[in-house]
Amino acid sequence: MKLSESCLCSIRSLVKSTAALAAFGLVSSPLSAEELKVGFLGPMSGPVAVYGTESLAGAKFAFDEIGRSALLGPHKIKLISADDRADPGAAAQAVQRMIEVDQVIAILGGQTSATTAAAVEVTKAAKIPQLSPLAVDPALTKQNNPWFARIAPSADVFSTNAVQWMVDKHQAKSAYLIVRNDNWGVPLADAFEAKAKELGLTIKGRVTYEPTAREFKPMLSKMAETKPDFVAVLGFYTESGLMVKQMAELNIKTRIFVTTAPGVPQYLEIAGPAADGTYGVLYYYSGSIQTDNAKAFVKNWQAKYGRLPSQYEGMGYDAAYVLAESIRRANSAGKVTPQAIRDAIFTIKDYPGATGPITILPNGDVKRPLPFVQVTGTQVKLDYVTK
Amino acid sequence: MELTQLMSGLAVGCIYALVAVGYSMIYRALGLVNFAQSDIMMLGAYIGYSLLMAWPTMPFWLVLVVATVLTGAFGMVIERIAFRPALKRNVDQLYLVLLTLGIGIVLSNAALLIWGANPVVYSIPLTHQIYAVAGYPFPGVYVYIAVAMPLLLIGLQLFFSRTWVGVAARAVADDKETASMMGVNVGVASGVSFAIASGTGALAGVLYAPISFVSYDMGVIGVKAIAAAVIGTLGSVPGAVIGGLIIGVGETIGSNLISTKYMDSIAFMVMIVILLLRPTGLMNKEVRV
Repeated sequence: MKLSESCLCSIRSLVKSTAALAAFGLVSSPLSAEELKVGFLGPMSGPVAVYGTESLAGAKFAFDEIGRSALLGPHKIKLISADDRADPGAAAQAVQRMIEVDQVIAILGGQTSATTAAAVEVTKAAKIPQLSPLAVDPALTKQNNPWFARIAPSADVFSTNAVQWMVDKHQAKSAYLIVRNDNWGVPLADAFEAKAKELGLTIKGRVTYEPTAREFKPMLSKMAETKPDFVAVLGFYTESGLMVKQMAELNIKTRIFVTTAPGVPQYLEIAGPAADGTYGVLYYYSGSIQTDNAKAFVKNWQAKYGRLPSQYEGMGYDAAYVLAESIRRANSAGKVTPQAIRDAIFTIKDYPGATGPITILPNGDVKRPLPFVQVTGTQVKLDYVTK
Repeated sequence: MELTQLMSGLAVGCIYALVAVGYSMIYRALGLVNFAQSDIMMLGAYIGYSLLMAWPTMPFWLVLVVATVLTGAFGMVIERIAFRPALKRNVDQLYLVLLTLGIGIVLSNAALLIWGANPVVYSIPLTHQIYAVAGYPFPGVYVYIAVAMPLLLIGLQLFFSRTWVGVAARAVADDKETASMMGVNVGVASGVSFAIASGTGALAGVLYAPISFVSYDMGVIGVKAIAAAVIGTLGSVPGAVIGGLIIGVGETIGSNLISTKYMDSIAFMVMIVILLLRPTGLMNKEVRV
């Protein structure tokens, strides 16, 4: 018996109904009980460890729930994690080892664009499906690679939505870009400029900085001279925090957009009171999605950890569920092989994720909502959610 | 260029200068560039952080003093267990340089294990305090930098000219064999040099923490401090201070004149230009306290 698509309206209702049917022997698994190994790749140490550790925590939380449910029938998922230290070389080695030694059937990761690009070369050659929770570089889905998909919006989507939001919601006429010189910042800036041109938002300047930089006052002063409606800091939370702090020290008053930084507590600590009023866009903002799944996720997470889930925890959680759902579909079709899982990933449409509905597009990109937020005091408040 | 930017350049220049003083002191004592110096600065910043975590109301000046003393003692221990045995065996200079690089890597990794990968911030009002002086914003920590720098320089001057240990350390730095024959304990003198260099590094780290944040990889700013020490003639304490200030202010002026994009390169462009004009740096070998 096949489960109908309508059951997908809620993961928990699916889990409950599958469990009930299984109890009466109405669901038969096409394959015998098996331990399915899934690799998880991300930085667990180094300056961007937060992306790996939090995404992994979310994935583990999801797999624990799935393990207690009957979603995968008799199959159990064993998660094997590897620390890539945000180093592409280490990422490629780790994925190679997970495929050859551990014989994983799928990879969740990487979390940064550079490590994901390195891992993609390995998974593509080995024909193992790879699903990234956080990587945003547009180049990742422009290579006609049928083995890669992501639940994170590409930098193009982040930036085009940001420009649209600045123009529509805040009536901005001009912006100034301060860009991290790497494959996170540069693609964001390129897409931002292209969309700005389309919508008539004047770009008053664009300057890049090296990832090791900590002193930004000269470039901030030059930015202030152009009097933009918005300054967009397209970088990591550490540099964004320092820039916001240094803008306060220079008495620069302009609207500031700091991409995903408001979702990282260290940003608020580094920027201090100067963070008040700054804007950002998150992968996920807990409370912005009002479906039963989303509410249940936030409630269960709070019950376990006593706090709201972060954006990276939410993304890790949903990536794990999207993969598990793909494995379930492959299993229902009669075979849990890497090829069948890959095929199933690309059938994901309007999946009711805890971070919002998720549709995997034919090129591996995703369609999902994006929450824009504003720091108010020490709290991060929702400003706007894209459809 | 605004006065605010110039003050910021001077403040960061003071941090470079403090790290550079450490480089110069070790070079003076052992004829060696201690590449672990910037990681000792990082260690000092973390010790300051731990002090504030344990005693959140501890006054900042006391944090500066305690972190400086503790890190200075740590420097003495490093000298005793790692450098002195190597020096006794008269090992090759290359070996010593590798030893300093190794100590730096060990310190950085130890900090990663102890304090974690995420950057930490001093949770004190000073970190985000901004005063208005004649209409210009003035970060509170600049006051501490402005007081600590001259105090340190006067203290070092008095130590090396008025105390027996200081004079002995200078004697060893100038001529180890002769000093030894005159009864100076060479080991103690080199230990004192390490202690002062490490303490100065910690001072830089704790003063830099409220300007930026503390992370296990914050030692990267040490590269510019080496440039500062070279500009001011390696081995000269006043030269290191002048070199640090030249780099700090030079970066600010240079990035305004040329492009902010090349800010990090400007420190080294300044160093190259000065070395082309004065190959041994700005100070005479004789003027090095």
